[in-house]
Amino acid sequence: MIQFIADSLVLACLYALASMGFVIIYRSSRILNLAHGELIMLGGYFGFVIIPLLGGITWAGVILAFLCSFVLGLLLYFLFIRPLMGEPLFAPIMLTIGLSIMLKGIAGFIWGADPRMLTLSLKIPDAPHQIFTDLILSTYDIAIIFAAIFFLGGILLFLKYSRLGIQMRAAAESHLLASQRGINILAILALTWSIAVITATAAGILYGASVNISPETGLVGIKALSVAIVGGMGSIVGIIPAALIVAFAEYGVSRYIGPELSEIIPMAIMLLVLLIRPWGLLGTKEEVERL
Amino acid sequence: MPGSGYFKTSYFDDMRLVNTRFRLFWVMVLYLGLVLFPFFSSSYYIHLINLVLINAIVALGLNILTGRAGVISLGHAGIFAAGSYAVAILGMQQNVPFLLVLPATLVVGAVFGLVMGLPSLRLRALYIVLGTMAMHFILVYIGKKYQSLAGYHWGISIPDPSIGPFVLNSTIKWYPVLIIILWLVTIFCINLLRSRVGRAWTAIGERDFVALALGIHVGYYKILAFVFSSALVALGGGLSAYYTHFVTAETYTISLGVTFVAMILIGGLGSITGSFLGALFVTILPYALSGIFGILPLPLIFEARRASIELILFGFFIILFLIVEPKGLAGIWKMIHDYFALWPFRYRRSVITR
Amino acid sequence: MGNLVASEKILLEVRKLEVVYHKASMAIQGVSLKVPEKSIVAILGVNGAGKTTTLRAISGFLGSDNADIKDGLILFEGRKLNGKLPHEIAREGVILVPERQKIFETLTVKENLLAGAGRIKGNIKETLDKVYFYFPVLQKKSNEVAGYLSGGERQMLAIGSALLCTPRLLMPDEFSLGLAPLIADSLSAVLQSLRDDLGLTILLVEQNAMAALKIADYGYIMENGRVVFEGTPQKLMSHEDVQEFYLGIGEAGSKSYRDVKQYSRTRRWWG
Repeated sequence: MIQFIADSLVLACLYALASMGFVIIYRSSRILNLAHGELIMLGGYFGFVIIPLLGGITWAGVILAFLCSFVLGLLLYFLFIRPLMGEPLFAPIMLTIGLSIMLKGIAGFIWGADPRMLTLSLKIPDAPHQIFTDLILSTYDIAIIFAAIFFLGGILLFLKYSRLGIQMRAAAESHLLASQRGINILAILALTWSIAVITATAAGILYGASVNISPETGLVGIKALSVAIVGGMGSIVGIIPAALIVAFAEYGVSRYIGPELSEIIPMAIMLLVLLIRPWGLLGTKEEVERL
Repeated sequence: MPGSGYFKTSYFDDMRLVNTRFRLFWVMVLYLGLVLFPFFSSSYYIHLINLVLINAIVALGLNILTGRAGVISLGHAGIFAAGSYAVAILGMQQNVPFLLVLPATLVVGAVFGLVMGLPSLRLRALYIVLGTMAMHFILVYIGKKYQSLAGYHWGISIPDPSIGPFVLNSTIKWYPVLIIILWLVTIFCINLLRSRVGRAWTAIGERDFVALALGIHVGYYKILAFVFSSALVALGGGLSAYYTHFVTAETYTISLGVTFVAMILIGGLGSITGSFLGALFVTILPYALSGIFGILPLPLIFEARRASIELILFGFFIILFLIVEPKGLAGIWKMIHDYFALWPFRYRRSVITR
Repeated sequence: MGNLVASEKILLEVRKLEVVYHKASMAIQGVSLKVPEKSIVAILGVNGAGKTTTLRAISGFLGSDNADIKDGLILFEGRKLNGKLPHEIAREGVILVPERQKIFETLTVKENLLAGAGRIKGNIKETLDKVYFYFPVLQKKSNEVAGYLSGGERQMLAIGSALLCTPRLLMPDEFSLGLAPLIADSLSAVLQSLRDDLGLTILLVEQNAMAALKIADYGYIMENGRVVFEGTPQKLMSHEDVQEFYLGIGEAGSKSYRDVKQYSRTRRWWG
């Protein structure tokens, strides 16, 4: 039983990490970044490529991978998102769809379609650790939990208490007013994208280490969507209960009913939420309803 | 055509689809070309065109929803699947004849479209997109479940359909059937889009708040758009099931749904011509690519990663058309057409009406 | 035109500004203003006269309304302002207090105040204390979410936040709109004290001509996108048409609106 809870918890942490970037981007620019799954995938590949360059020493490699993601975030923002800023919201969504296709193709082209095991590059094998008598967690399970707490907690604290965080929240509420107060909107939005891509990379690396990375990994992003909706699209805090709900439901169904059904559980939950309470657990009605 | 001195003088003139002798001539030329085409080309090209025809039906359907009514749907691969499974169940298992199954796919599509459209009564565009995605997965899951429960683990084979004594067992036999079906669908769509319903959709697609203020029941028309578009996409799915003789859940990925959207984006949103051009582009691209690889001496890795290169080009063209020419290939066609039609003048208001 | 004292330094100058909406309709035309340092200048006029457009043009926010500056020059301390990005203009010290959407509703009062305080060279705490001195209620409610504040409190928060951006030129747009007269009066007093004690320059836009002229050093009247009249408050208040149309002081003996003179107003201004 406790193993079940722990495993679900690990899955929840992974989902939380995966959906963080998505929610951050939505909150600050009101854009549905449908390429987020592919960013996670790309992040995993970053880890795959960059970490061995530094001799497989995890921390330096990971930080370098994060730096690359940071730059990627800036690039994405300035190349693709900014030019489409004035257009109806339709356009950036379509753009992210096109981007997701292109990124998938690029990944497939560079690295081929075979799944890669990140543990080979990371030089830290995935070993089981006995915690209690009936609880076994692998190294990467623990890493996932820590990463989720670190990033989620870090971002929440940053947004609440730091000057830059206040400015980001201000910009997220109203670009116009923030500019009028002297806040450099371009810099803030670009920074937001970079942070989002970094969290995606973290999710990608950890996913790659626990499972594998292939161009199809982008599908994980769809589960991230579900978590974001359940929690409330604009709410980062909402990710916590949402990830727990989705993960426990999916894992529970997988263990006690069948793995096939569990695949669409996140989707079913998302549809249910959309039909019954579209603003999720912690979102606001105004965000969502048509009129 | 504005500025040409052609004036419509009767209601009949106004309603005609082809309203000048000039246009009539070229439409006849087109028809003649379509009829003569199969006699002058190999089975391979006819096969390609058949695929384009089926995809064109899907594109027309999706263009109603996304191009006109402005509702983005990523879930239509699920509807496509529903059409295919309908063929599998009715056509193959129950042995219902081809000519009855096709209308049945329309109904199946309409029903699932109705369900998929329900969130749009209440939610904003972004959330509707997610709703359609969720619906897609659920539909495909149901199909997969049916497959395994009925024992078809590797997929369901569909035998050649027949219309009376006429068995459709070669590409050249499929060609006229598909042309006629597409022709019917096109005429239907053109008229639908010109009708009150179509105008309501155009209004909603432009600015749904204003449409509401004008007394258009936005929710009702959005559901109607879902219903019509899904009916057509399901028809496409059914035809595809018959044509490819195979139905299996793995085909209906979310990427397929994205491909459908790509067709209308690249072709040009909301335009009939755009649906054709987009379907043509998207269908031909992989084949064109292998053709290029056959000719050019590129390193072997290009051939091995062909699928990925297709994806890169796909995504690239979507982004390109979004940023540069939102009216897609149809817009480019119109620019070229206008240039020659208006010469030596240079400007006219460019609005795609078809 | 202009009766400004020549020795005063001009902080903001607008020369023949023209703004066009949707590339088609002229919002303001040939607007010229001079705002001397440490003074309060008012732009008066009815709805749609172009006052807000002028302020937005100065603060660089036209792009979001599909409007462009077609012609003219905006000079701040002699340096060209038009063409700069909105947040750059704000950092120069030209701070707009908008009419609508003036505070961050989801942030607390204190966070609102700190949000823009980017370029403070001095002490943030010192300025914050000054703001609390003028608006003690903000200190009392400093941890409350701004969305719950009343109209008057919001306006105080808006002006307070503007103060924390170390403004050289403060531009309140319709500061008395929707406020109870008592609160509007106390805000007027605050603006005056900002000019007198802090040496702030204020360019305000107001429909309530009487309230504005009570505190202004100079005023411009706009109609249909043009400046039609300017002068000191005394000059403005003694002009017949200003009295009639903006101050509600009718002609002696007029008993109903049918007695209002019917004539072309533009012709009158240049008479």
